[in-house]
Amino acid sequence: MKRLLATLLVFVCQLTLAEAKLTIEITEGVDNPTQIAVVPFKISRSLDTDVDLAAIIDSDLLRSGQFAPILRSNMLSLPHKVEDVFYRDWRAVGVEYTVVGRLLEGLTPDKMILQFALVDINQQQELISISLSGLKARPRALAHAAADMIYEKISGIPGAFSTRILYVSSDKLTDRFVYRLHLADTDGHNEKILLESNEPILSPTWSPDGKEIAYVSFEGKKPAIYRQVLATSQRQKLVDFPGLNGAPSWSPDGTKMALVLSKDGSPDIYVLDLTSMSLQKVVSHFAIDTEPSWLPNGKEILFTSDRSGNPQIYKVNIESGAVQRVTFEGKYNARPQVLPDGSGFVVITRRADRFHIALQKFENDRIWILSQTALDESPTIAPNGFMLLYATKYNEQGILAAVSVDGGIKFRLPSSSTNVRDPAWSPLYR
Amino acid sequence: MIDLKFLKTLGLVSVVALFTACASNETTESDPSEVVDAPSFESGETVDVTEVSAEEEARIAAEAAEAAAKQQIMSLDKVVYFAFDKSTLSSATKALLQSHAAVLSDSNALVRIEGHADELGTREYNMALGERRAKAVMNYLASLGVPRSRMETISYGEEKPAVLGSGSSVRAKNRRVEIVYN
Repeated sequence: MKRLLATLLVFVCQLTLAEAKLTIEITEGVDNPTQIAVVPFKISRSLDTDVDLAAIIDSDLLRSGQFAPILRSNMLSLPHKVEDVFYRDWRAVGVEYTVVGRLLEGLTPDKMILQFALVDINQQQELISISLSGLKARPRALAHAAADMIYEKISGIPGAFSTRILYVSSDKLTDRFVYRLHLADTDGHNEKILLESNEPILSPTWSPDGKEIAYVSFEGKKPAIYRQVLATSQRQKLVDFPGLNGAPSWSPDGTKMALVLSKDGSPDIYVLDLTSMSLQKVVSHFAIDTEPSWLPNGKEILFTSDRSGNPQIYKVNIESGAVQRVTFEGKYNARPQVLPDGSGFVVITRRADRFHIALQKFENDRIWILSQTALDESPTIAPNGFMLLYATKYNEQGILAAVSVDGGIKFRLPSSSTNVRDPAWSPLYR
Repeated sequence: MIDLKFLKTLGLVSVVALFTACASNETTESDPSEVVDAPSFESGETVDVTEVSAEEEARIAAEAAEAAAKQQIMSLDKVVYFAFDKSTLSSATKALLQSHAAVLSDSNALVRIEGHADELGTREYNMALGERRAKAVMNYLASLGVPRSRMETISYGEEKPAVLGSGSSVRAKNRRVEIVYN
C-alpha cells in the first residue's frame, strides 16, 4: 500500500512538471489497481528524438485510476522484445503485465513506427504484438494510440486516451473579464486557444465525427450560436434570434442540432436541420425549458424544465411531441447528459446547498451521487462511457475534475487560468 | 448758482414721476418675447442682448429638464436583487423601479436591463433565469407607463458576476438586474 501511494505521488509530480496548462491530481483510485510495467522503448539511432513514449503511456494508464505503472528504478531488466522478457523478473516485482517495444524509422521520412508487445506475465502469453505508424511531429498521438490498445485489451473497455476536450476559461482584469475557448488533449497537452473575447463564451459541444464544434458566444453583444470546423477554423453563425440562443447539442447522426431559443417569449427547445436550416419547435411551454441532450436513438431528447416549480429532467419524443418527467428525487435536477450506451444519464442534483454530479439509470428512478465536490456543473462523459469530466470549485478557483461513472475513481485538473469550466469531451477518433 | 443737489433730486423726482405716470396708464402684460434692446449706460459699449425665440426657449427648458433627469438618474440605485432561483420583485425593488419610471417619463433615455444569476446551478439554466429576471423588471416598468420601445433586455446568466468569491453574501450580490441608461 505504501509503495502504491509512493508510486502515485511520484507520477503526480511528474505530471505537474509537464508543459500542460491543465495538471492532474488523482484523489482516489481503485482499491486494487492492475500493476503494469511499461519498459522504456528502445529508440532507433537514426531517429533524432528523445521523446519518451513509454512515460506517456504510463501517465495515461495511471490517469485511468485502474492501473499502477511501476517505477523504472524497480525494473530488473529492460527488454525491448518479447523474446527477452524473463517472466521471473516481472513476477518478482509483482507485475501482471509488461509492455516492451522499439521506436523505428517510418515508411516515409515524416513518420515513425512504434513496434510494441503487451505480455501477460502470469499466463506467459503475448496479448498484443503490433506496429503502429504515426507522424514524427505528433509523438504523443502514437503513445495514446498504444495506451488505448493496452487499456482495451486488459479492461475490455475502449480506451479514451486519444480524445480531446474543449473548455472555457475566464480571467478577471480590472474593468472586465476575458473569456477563452480552449482545445486540448485529454491529458491537458497541446492546448490551443480557439477563441478569445471580452464577452462570454459558453456551452461548447462536439459534432459526432469530432471534426466540428459549436458554442454560444456573446461577441455580437448578445448570445448567438456558432459552428466551427476545427481543421480550417472556418466559422458560421448558426442562429441569432432575439433573446436567448443557447445550449447547442448535435444529434447522434450529425444531421441536426437541438438548441434553445426564447424568441417566442420563454426558453423552448428547437431542433435545427443542419442541411435545410429549417427549425422545428419540439418543446413549447411558458416555463424555462433548456439544456437538451439526445438519446442515441435520435428520436428522444432529455432536457431541463422548471414547469413543476423547480428544475427537473424531462424527456420529449420529437416525433410525437409527448413529454414525460424523468427525475423525482430532490428539488433541483438539471443539465442531463445521456450516457453513450443510452442506459441512463448524468445530471447535476442539489442536496441542501451542494450541487453534485449524479447518475440515474432509465430502468429505475433512483439517483446515485458520484462526486464529493460541492459546486459541480457541466458534466461531460467520455465516449467510452467510463469517466466523466466536470467543472467545480477548489480553493475558490474554477477547475475541472473527473470521476468514473461508477464513482470509484476521482481526480482534479487545476489550471493556470483562474476559472476553468464547461468541459466537453470529444468523441473517439477512429 | 444752481444747487446740484437740488437738480439731482429734481431728476430723480422726474424719473419717478415718469414711471408713476407710465404705471398709472392702462397696463398690458408685457409679452416676454418682446424684450427690447435695453438702454446702454456705458459709453461706447453695447451689451449684446438679443431676442430669444419661442423654439429656443422650449429647447432651453427641455435641456434643463434633461439635465435634471440626468442628475436624478445618477443619484438613483441601478441594481435590484433577487432570492435564489426566483425572479419575483420585492417591495423595495418595486419602490426603486417606481423612481426609475418617473425619471424615464421625464427624459428620452433608453435603458438596457441586464439580468444575472449567482454561480449555483447550471449555466444555461442560469441564462434563462437571468432573462426571466430582466423581463420581470421590464414588465413592471412597462406597467408603470415606460414605453417598451425604450427598453431592451439581455441576460448574462452567471457569466458576469459583480463580486467574485463564494459564500451566500457574495452570491446574494450577484443575483441581480442592472439598469443601464444610454
